[in-house]
Amino acid sequence: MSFPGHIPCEAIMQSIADGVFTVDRDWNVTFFNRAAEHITGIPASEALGRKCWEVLRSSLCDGNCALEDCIEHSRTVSGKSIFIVRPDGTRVPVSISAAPLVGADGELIGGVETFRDLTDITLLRKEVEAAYSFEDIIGKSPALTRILAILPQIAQSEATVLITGESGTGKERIARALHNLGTRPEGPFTAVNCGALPETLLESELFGYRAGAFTDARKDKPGRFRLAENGTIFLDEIGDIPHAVQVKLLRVLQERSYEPLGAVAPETTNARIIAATNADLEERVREGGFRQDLFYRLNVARLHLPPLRERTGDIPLLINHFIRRLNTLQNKQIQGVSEDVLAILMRHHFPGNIRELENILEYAFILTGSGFIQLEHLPDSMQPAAPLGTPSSPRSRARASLQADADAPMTMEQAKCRAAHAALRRHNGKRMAACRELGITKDTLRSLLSRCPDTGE
Amino acid sequence: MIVSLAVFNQRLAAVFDSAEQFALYQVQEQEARFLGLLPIRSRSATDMATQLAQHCVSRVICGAICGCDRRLLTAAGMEVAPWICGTMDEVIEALCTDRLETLAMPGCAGACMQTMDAEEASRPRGQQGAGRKRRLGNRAPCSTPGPSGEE
Repeated sequence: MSFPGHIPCEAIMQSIADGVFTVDRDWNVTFFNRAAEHITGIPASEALGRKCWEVLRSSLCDGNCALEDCIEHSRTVSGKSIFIVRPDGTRVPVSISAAPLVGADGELIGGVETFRDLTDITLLRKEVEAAYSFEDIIGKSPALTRILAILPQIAQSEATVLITGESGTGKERIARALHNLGTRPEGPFTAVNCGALPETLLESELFGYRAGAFTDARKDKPGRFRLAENGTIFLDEIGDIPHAVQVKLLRVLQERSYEPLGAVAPETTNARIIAATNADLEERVREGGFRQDLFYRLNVARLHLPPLRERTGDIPLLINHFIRRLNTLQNKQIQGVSEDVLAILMRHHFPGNIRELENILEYAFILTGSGFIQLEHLPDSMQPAAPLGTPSSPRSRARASLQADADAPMTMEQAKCRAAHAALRRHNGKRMAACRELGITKDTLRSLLSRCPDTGE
Repeated sequence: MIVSLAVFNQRLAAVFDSAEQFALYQVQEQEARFLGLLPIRSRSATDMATQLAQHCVSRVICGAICGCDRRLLTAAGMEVAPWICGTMDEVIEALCTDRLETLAMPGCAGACMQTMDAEEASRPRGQQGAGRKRRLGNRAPCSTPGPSGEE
């Protein structure tokens, strides 16, 4: 459909709320509408005839010109987020689109660029982020909001806290928040990963030793409990501690005392104890791998952190948070993620939770120079499957085959079986984790698996 | 006096912090001697100010610059002549003939062309010089880029 010749084109351009300017083939500004004057703070009379980079003064003008790119490759650029600098020295975030301009005879006559002021959107986004962050914990999902609501009260009490949740859900961050909001924020916060140390080392690490306790113990070494005096000790991976240490830890919790290796008299501790685990401690107790009395001593106040897949609404907030942090750390100015990247991240299962999201963004930061993180900047495992018939690598072939398999006709019962098996595979056969993911009880899973043709019991 | 131009592709960069190099000149009695090109090590305005301070730059001529970057340069002891456009040759010629204002960017002739020193002068008496006292650490002895732009 052609544009009606009797309608004054300039009047339309002047009425648009977005800034619009055109350039000739020598990059001289040939048109500058009223919105462009308003956003840039430059009157059209001064802009016309000047080079576009002298007028727009954007972060792309020195070497990454969007207009040059679209004119050179005969394509359009749209929705690129950048900033411009106004004459008063303020940076204005704008979203630009650009296209080549072709005359009636088909010959290139220049380019057109439109830009939209994003100041209000940026301010709004900052306000939303500020409203949904608490002690560096980001989120607005109901599950997390409930935890954040009771966090200050729990922090102010002296109760032992047990934080549970899958790996990467931010258990240490919650522990630090409890410490910061508690009655002893000035004291030390000592974190110990109990799963990373063998039994003998863990015991001396937690409780310390006296000189002469064993060969090479030439002088006293204070344990973590001593180092956490007047502060907080965070025992991560508590589900992995061996029985011998469980007994000693129980004594600390009951009597607030312990004996360093080789000591003749007990020492006391006033450190607040916060423990965390990604294991199902009740299950461990039932199996006999974890002392029941210790479990009850630890489980005074319990906080369960939901996995990221159960709080997908927090993903955009977390993405913005990590991008801002990585921009600061790496001195970059990445604006965000593109719409298709966001869609992929929102659909992703995130077995590694927030840590996985952070790692994905850190990887993308390496490949992204400026602007927005695009699909090609994501790790290979996150790339969308290639169209059927064009698999290029073994991984994409496997993905394509799975996709084809999933698209094959099946009954509801077969679909349930497939989902149950896939969840079990993802969790290395752990039924509780698979149940949590599927949102069903253990009995339902057992009954479902018994009906499946390949696992029927 | 050593003058630095924040440049991109033989012209002043449109925006200070997206410049590709600093072109350094020794300017004395309306004559300018080209000292060399200084590749920009980091895009952080603090690092850029430190790099310029290490080369004893007294004056920075640049295109658009945001208020915080400008204050950072002034705090590092440099006079800033912002909102200028043109090729390196045009800018140096204008500088030597005291006509820099003729190269003002559109919409920038007048108030925004004032150097930060003038801005300082317009502050209340008690606050004058506050920016200049905040230096970026102790200044090391100045270094001059070699003919190829290497430090």
